[in-house]
Amino acid sequence: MKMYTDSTAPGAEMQLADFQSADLDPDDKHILVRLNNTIAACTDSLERFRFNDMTRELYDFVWHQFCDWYIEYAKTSLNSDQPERRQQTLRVMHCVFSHVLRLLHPITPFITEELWHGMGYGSDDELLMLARWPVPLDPEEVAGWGDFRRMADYVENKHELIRIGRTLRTDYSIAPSRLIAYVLKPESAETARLLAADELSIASLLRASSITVDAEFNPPRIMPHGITRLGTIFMPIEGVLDGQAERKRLEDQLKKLTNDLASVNRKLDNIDFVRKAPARVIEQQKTRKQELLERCGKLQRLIAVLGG
Amino acid sequence: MTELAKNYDARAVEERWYRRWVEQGAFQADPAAAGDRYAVVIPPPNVTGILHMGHALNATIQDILVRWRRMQGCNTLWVPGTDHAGIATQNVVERDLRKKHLSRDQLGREKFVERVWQWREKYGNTITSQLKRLGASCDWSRERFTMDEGLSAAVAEVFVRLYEKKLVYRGNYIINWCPRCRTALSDEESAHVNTAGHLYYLRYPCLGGKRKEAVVVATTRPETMLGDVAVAVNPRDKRYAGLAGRRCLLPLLKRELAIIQDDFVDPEFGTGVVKITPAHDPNDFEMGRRHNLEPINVMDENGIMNELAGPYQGLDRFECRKRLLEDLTAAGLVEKVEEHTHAVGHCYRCDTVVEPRLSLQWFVRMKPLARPAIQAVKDGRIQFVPERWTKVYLDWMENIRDWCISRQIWWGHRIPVYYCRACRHEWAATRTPETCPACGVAEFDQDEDVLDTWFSSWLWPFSVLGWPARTPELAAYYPTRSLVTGAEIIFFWVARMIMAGLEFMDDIPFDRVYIHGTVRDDAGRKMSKSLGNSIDPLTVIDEFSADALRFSPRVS
Ligand SMILES: [Zn+2]
Ligand SMILES: [Zn+2]
Repeated sequence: MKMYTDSTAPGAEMQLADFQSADLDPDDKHILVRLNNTIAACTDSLERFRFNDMTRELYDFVWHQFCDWYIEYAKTSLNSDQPERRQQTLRVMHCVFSHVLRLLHPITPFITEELWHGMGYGSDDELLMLARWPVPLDPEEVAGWGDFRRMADYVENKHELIRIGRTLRTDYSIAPSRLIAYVLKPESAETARLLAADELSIASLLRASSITVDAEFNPPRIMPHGITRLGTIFMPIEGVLDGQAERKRLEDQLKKLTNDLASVNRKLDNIDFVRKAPARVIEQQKTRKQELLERCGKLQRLIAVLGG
Repeated sequence: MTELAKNYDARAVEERWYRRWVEQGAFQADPAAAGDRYAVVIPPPNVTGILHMGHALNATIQDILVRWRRMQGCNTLWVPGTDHAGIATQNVVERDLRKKHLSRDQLGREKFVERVWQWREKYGNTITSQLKRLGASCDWSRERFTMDEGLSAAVAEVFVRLYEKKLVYRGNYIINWCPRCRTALSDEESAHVNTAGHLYYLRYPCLGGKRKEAVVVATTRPETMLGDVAVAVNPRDKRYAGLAGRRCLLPLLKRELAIIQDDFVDPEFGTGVVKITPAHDPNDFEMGRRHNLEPINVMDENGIMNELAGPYQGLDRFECRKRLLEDLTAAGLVEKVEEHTHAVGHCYRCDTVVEPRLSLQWFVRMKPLARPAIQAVKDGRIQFVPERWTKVYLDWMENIRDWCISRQIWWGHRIPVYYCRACRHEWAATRTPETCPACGVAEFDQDEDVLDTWFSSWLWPFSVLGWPARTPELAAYYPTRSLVTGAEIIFFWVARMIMAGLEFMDDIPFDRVYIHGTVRDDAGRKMSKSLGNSIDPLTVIDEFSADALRFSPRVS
């Protein structure tokens, strides 16, 4: 276990309020805002003896915000050849991680103390158990952050856009190695500006060959797409996908599912079965029917998009 | 900066850091230091205890709170300690002795108590070393034991103060008795279990009047009839208006009984005629008092019938029930027998059926102590979390009964009451006296009984800080802040601590009572030995880590 520690853990000693708007990318601002929220939520949970809530908050922040998104974003930045940018990302990462260790310490004191010293966040006799508990920003400090909150909202929406873009890819079984030229049709001029400035990060997370932000985009014919809060994301498939073969694959799947559905329906229509089977088994069949209906519906939509 | 090992060796890391924290004095509190005070007292586990998931959860919650407050910059103290656990420990040591074919009676009081101390020396640290492995950041330099010198002094002080205020008294009273442990139990120590039994309808022949006339009484414990002193009917029960003032004959013993009238008799129960056995039933005891009837105690402390049971002397109570029913049946005096399910008290330590029994015991008058303790919760100075426990607490407090505090065992704080052999003077003293304060002779006896274990733990929030001495710890850390405990000891412990704090410190002992749930298995069932679904927390620590155990307690 070794993180990028060019110098002695830059940022570990940094307070949330020390970060300045001008130095940071939207993703940096997003993770710092989320960290600030997490600090407030954890402290509040402890005040109210809601230990499970606190654990959930922390787990969600560390896994679903920090690991799933920020570290992914940071990879691009850490590989960049601009030392200033790398340094700034490191500062944010260490600040977040050192705060997380402090928040986790009361629950898991041993491993956090070990990591604290392993990361060089405290000298030998500076124990984590005696480090200061993080304090969320006061309203004045939040004001000092300027556009942090707006950027955090934008990044939340960007994450949704990326999730939907990735789903489009898996719906049509496009290998992760295939680069796709996504097109984004933004919902406003402001969004268009943000997306354009963020192209590199979005392209890397979507494994795109290019990202085209086009407010006037009008696909020549039906094309796989998804609606997001930032606008519509289109996935052109020419050259990426054999439309005919994909259509056949989806139709085969649909046929199989339709058969399964028929068999479940037969069971549920059978009065004997319904009368004799345990409630649990009947419940299972009903759930299965619901699942099959949803999957069939989705396949029908995917096939329709591929056209005739 | 140390390089992080690739393979995380939890055991080595956890031992290393625990040692470091202790060596650096990071758990140690300084009453003179700055910062808001945040003190927590551990619910002292029994000295016989072995860490189970319940303890692990309880200690983890306290440790989370304490570590968090410490990081917030509070002047933090977590006091650890163990409870001498009177009956429980005595039972363990007795079991040990039995393996060596010894009994406590053979050893005698002094030798036996010595044995218990030896046992404690040898095994008493098990649970505290287990708490250390869990990571508990207790101030071990302030560890206490409910029988240590300081706490024993606090117990004596409290007893004497209550004695002088006439808030403890000695009285003949019907109490819950465990014939196995041979001691009185408090109401809370007698666990009521719904038990399938029988309701026996017995004929008591009437005297005078028509021949063969009889009253029929219903009872679940026929052997107690040997101690009957009367039968009673409700004065408004028209069926029995003609019986008033007449007498009947107690079968088998052929003793004459008065037929009395009392509003307490429930005309709906059985036939509406009840037997009155003041020495063996709490309601009959009260009724006997109202009618000036002398109780007849027919059992000894082992649940064996005594000389007053006539031909049944020497029989165990259940054997006596059997024999007596055979005799009554032969005499044609059993009218009928019905299946009957009712709540029967069981000893919470050994599960023996509790016998209500008349005996001389010490009590604390609770009503005067309860009043301010009810107020402290009603006005929000003390808050229960979750809030629903407030009602449970208040309901119990508003119906509180006197607390039977004497126990007929040897392991515990001996009651500091002395009886002069010369002038019969009785007095209480915090130290063993030299002479009788009334007549000056040196011949006197100390009361044989010891105090209920909870009589020391109800003082815990201030006794561990040095009370009755005015220590810097007491000044700095009382009142403590959060009390973390399970619901099963709200009456045994939490309520009594609130009463003791207000009585002796004139202040609440803590301001938040956090009641946590029980640990459950994946199927949502309570963990128990009998279900075989309990997880040993030490196995989890050994196989994974203390951190893993702390991170994942499943609580309901
Ligand atoms: Zn018992
Ligand atoms: Zn005397």
